[in-house]
Amino acid sequence: MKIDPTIYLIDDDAAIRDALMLLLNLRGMSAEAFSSAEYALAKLNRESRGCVLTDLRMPGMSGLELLAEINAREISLPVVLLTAHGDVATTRAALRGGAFDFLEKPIDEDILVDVLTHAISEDARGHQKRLQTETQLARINTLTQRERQVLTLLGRGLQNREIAIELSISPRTVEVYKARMMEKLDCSSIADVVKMSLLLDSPGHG
Amino acid sequence: MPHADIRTSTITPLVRATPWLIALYFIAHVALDAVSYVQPVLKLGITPLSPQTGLVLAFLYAYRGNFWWVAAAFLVSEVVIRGIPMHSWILPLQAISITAVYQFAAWLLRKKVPMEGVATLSGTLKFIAVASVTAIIAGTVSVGLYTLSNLIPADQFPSALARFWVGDLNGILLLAPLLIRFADTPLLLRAILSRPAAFIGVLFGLFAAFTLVFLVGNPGDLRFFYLFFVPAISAALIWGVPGFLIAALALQISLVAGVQRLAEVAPLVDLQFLMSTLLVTGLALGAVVTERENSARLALQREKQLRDSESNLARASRAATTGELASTLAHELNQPMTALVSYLRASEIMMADGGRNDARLAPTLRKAADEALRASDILRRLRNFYAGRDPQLESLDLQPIIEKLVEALRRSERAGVESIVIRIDHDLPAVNGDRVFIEVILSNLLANALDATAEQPNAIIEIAACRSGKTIHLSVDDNGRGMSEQIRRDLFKAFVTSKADGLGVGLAVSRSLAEACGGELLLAESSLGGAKLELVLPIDAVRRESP
Repeated sequence: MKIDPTIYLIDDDAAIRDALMLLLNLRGMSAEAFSSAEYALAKLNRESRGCVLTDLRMPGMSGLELLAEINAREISLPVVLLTAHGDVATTRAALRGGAFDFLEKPIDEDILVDVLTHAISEDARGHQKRLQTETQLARINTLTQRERQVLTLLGRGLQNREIAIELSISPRTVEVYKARMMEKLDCSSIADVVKMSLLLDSPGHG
Repeated sequence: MPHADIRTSTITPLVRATPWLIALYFIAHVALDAVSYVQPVLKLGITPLSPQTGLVLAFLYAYRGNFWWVAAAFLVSEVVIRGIPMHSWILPLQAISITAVYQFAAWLLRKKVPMEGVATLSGTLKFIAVASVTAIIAGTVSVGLYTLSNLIPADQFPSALARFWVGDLNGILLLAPLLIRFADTPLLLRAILSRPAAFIGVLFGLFAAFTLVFLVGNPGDLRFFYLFFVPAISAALIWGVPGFLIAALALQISLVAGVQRLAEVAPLVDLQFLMSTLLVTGLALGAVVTERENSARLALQREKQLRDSESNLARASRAATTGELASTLAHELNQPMTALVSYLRASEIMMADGGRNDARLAPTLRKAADEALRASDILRRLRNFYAGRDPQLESLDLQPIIEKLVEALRRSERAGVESIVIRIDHDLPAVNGDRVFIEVILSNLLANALDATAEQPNAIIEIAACRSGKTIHLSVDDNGRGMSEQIRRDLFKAFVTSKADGLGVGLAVSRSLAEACGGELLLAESSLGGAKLELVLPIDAVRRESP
């Protein structure tokens, strides 16, 4: 399922929502506006693609709280914060909290579009990478116990002979497992195999 | 004028005296005893003048571990000055027992009546009591020993004791406080010299009294002694305890000098009893004066501290308000500016689009203009507030103010204005308030309500004004989105309340304006399901009384 990247604009000020929506649409960007962080959260999920552009200071949930909530829900969208003040403490808190960028009102349109474009492509790249990882993990899951062991040991840099000793099987059998494993994982070189083996230990696994 | 502040200095800790100081004490003790060896009883150390007792008490009071030095000084004085042969156990025993009495007195004073207390009446009276008892005990022991060893005939015991007692008492009262507070002397001298006329007056008074008592008429006629009271009491009244003590010291010295000059004519012991009376009176009076001066100075200090802290508070709150306002200003102005800039940039893009968006151009520019107006409106309101003028309270009818405001909103075609309902009691009394302040508060409340109901399909905003006792409650209620618990809690803080569409300077400012009018701004329970804010204003008293 392919989802178009969307800019999720959140600002309690109706005029700002209206003006920014108009501007973004004119610049050919697809955007959706929300008057509060709570409304936006009701819409956002892990499948959402694009980025979040939110005001920092709002009645109810603030921009910083929204950022924390997005992180907590493992929504991978980059968050760009809008604020009226060049408040150092808030900026630091936002960046530490994993904000993608920080824009001061009134916003320079070129910078806004530039930052949003970057955010969207960052999101797409991240998404692509996650998709790829997922595919590879799915492939690893098709391996048998023995094939998985061979993958692990190859990843540690062991030779066929050493693997045979480690697993108490003949080197020839190791060759067979290795060939089958590489076929299942769609690997053409040992370098690819080592890369795949890293996924076995990565926290994203499973 | 600097005064000898003998109250605020702390009690000095009990320390060991240096060898030099002990030597100095020793010499001073013997010297004082030698100088004051006048009109003795049977060549014994029983004179009506014993300034060394004040020195002993002060020395034991200020330094520890000098018991044997003091006892030795007593003994040496007896032997050297009076040439009493060391033929018996009487002299060492006498020296040791007197020293013990004084050591106990010093301990008692330090524990119960520190010399700092001589600045108050009660402290002074206690000090006098301790001094009297000390002199009595020391005298009884000393004279008793002389009597027991037949150095004094038994029938002379009472008169010898009286001499001994008055001499010791005067010595203690006069010298102990002066010596113990020796560190304050420069301060005291400055205080005395700061009033030169009074100083010369007191000096002249002493001299005149001395002349009358010892030189004019019957030399040594005690009838004139009361004349000494005039300068001594004056000194007490002008400089308190320390001033009096210095005057009394001068008096004591002149008394001794006078008596020496007249040789056997005047009985010094009678003079010394008069002197005791003068000392007790002067000390008590001086203490009252010092106490009053100190408490007056303390009150002045407190008042100044209070004033300082008040002005600090005012300054801090003013700074906080200004800072808060500056921050609010930045936020409030940035909102319309952001929208304005975006609308204008959008218009620019539309114009460059070659006619495809021409239809949208006009409304966009119109919106941009609205935002510019919104910005200028915020600025105007902030400027009004920054003018920071005092409220001009006057008798006001609320109805025209409310109607004028709603009418202005209507003219500005503000969205949602048609949902405003006005309900005013028909016989509503006039309020006492500032017209502009009330207008600013009400327009803030209305702007809030309009914001809150902007997305409500059946929006209702109710402005109500009714009387309640001596106040009028002007409320703005709506059926909008209401407020979260957190917002309710922080409602009147500037940051929290500064919302989007033109709240202006925030509820915090509205509340301070309400308070400036002698009223208050409260969050009430909404009967429409949204938020209700209530401005409580006092009824105009003058208009209320008239029919």
